[in-house]
Amino acid sequence: MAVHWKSETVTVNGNKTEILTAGEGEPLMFWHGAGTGGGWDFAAPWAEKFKVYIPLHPGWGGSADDTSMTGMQDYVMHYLDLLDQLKIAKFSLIGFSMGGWMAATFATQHAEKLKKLVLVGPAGLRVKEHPTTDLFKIKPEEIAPYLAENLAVLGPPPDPHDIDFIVNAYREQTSFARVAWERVYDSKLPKYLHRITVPTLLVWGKQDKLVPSAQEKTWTKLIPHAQVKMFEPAGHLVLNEKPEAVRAILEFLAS
Amino acid sequence: MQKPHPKIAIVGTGSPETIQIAAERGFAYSSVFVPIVQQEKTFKALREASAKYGHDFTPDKAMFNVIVYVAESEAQAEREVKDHIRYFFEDSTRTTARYLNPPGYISAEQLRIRASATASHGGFDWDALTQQWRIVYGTAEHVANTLGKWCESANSSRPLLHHHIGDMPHWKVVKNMTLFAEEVIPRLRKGKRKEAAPARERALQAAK
Repeated sequence: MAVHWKSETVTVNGNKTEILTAGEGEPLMFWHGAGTGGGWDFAAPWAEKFKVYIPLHPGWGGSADDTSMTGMQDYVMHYLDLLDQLKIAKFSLIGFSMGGWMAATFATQHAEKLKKLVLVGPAGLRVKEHPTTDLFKIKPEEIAPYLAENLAVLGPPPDPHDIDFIVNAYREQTSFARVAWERVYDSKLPKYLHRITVPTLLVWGKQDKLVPSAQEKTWTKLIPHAQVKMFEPAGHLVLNEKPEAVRAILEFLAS
Repeated sequence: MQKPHPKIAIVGTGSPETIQIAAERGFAYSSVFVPIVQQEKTFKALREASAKYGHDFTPDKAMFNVIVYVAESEAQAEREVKDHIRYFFEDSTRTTARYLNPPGYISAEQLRIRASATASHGGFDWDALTQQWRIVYGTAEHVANTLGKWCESANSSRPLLHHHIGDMPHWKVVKNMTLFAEEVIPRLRKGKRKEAAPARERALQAAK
């Protein structure tokens, strides 16, 4: 289903922030991962029942760079400001990958603002037996198989001479490096995950090679009431690979 | 920072952001091995920005790198050094963008400029290199003259000399350094004394 994403720019605490919206209904926010290259078509079904907000994090897409954003807490504060500005008191939140780490951090502190929480292949935990892949160690030309099982969802490979693509990817990697260069986890997060008291769904591509799906056990141990939905064959980009994962999230949020 | 502190130089590849950092603090700026034209633009920006921040620019605050090789004749110098310079540019500095510019190493604007320009790493064109970069080889006379000229045009008193480059063997490094010490440095000093002479004369006159 095609959906038209309306793009608007708001200023949040001095930061130019781009927000894409579609649909009508209760507010649902999607916090994206470390790359924005894949587009947002996968999220279209959510707009059937919700007003979907996809804000671009500072340093990604049409949002301005902010070199002071050096940890997840900076993003939590940014989103508190944005929510105030949008006059959203309570909402459902989906966080993917780095955005999942962000969403989990937010939820440990502001569960009262959340109706429901969905974490899709979330980064943020250190699971020694199933470590998160360090994205910075992978050559750009070798990244595809880390992202998806079904490589067709990635579309044609980027043109290596496309300067705009190169510069934007570099800019987003730089923003990601500010929060994840040393580690793709927060060693304190496990200590506070019990504070996530809202209904929580974990979604994973079984063959995820970036954030291994076996990390699911650590999350469910720490958020005892969380449900898990595993999809296969699917990799990190489970939302692109499995429309049924997108549907499952919609059902969870709408029920 | 401790006071007083030793002289501090910030090393850069020419990004305006790095020049600003050095200028703001009154530090020296040490340019890595980059083409001459680009380097002189960088130093000009440093001089202007230093003044803007109220710091005196002195020639010891602009440092540049030079590959230098001294031999009995220009032909012999070229014969002895060329392959090692080739090794340096073709092998030692060959890398992918990923290692040349890790995330955050330069600004997105600088990456756009550099990605749009021709690659400066990994290629080898002897004529272009020796004309556009600070590579000087030949007799002591020629090396001293060229270094003197470069210091003048860059408004710098701090050339950083690479007597060893790439896979140069020990004997050549020793030969190069010895000839430089014995035959180039005295020439540079003499040139410097000549420049200083009028001032000394004036001082002596004043004393009388």
